[in-house]
Amino acid sequence: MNGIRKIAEALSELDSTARGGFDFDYQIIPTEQDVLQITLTGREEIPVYVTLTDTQILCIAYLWDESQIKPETRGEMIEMMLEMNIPMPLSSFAKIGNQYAVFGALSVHSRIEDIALEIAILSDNGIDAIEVMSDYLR
Amino acid sequence: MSLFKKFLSNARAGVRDNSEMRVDAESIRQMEEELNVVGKQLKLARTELATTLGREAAEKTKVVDAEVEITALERETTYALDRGDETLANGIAERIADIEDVVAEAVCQRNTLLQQADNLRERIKRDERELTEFNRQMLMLRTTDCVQKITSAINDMLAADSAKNFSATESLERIRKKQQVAAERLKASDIKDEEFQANRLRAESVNAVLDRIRAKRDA
Repeated sequence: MNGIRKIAEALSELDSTARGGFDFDYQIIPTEQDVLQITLTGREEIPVYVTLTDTQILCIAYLWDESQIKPETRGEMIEMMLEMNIPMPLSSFAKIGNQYAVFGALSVHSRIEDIALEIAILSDNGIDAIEVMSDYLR
Repeated sequence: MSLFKKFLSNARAGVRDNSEMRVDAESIRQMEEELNVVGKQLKLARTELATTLGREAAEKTKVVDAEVEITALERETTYALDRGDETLANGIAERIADIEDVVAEAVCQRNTLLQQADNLRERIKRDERELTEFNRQMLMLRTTDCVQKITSAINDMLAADSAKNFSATESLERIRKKQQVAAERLKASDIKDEEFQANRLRAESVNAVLDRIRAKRDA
């Protein structure tokens, strides 16, 4: 599997079951680094971004930025994120600049079904994470 | 300190100053330079090892050949002594002594070369470990760079479309509402299905009663 376009094509050829019952909408974001934006039907607000590095396929869902956190609960929130990291299937929390995210990393040799599963679960995890952390957010 | 750690320390300082955490081209250039240096060292050490092993093999051959020659000369000396030719025996013995000096020197040289080869093997192992470590750090830097670039591109894209700019809790609320609407739609459709099913069963049951009465009347 190489190239973001190929991943998009292969994902669109999968049946709905392999995509966790979701319909995926695809958009390639024109940038220096190829990025595929995948919007899951009914979850347009939290898209999943897929990109390729030298050795990995990275799937990222951005959750919130520093400005959305209640400052007095920030430490507690971070502790909760660490506690949630292992139980959360296939994804982990991350911070990029001032943005918090959940992400999953796969080998560049992963099967397309595994990439689809990662995307569907990442989206579920993103929504769960916001729900769990909503007390810490404005 | 590893270059990645240095980069992270600088980046954290940047975050504290409210400037953006970026992988700068200089970090990647430095890492590429380090990789290049270690790669060259490794290549050189491998060439040196091959040369050293070649020289060691030549010394070994020299020793083996000399030992064969010594054996032959010793045989000749014995013949000379058996014939009572002391002068010849003496001359051959001198040659043997010369060759033994050469052997001793070759053995010494060979041992030095074997020691050099061991040192080179150690150096190669160390360089290989270093190269693997630099490659790993390089991948970490490149991945950080990649993630920063896409985050920046996505931020720019979202900033240009304020209609899509929701907070996390607003997004969650919108998604939950959509899920609720979809669930209600599904429920309504299930109720309709159940009503349709019940009406169908009732009609079937009425028809069965009528059929039974008609059959009784016609009998």
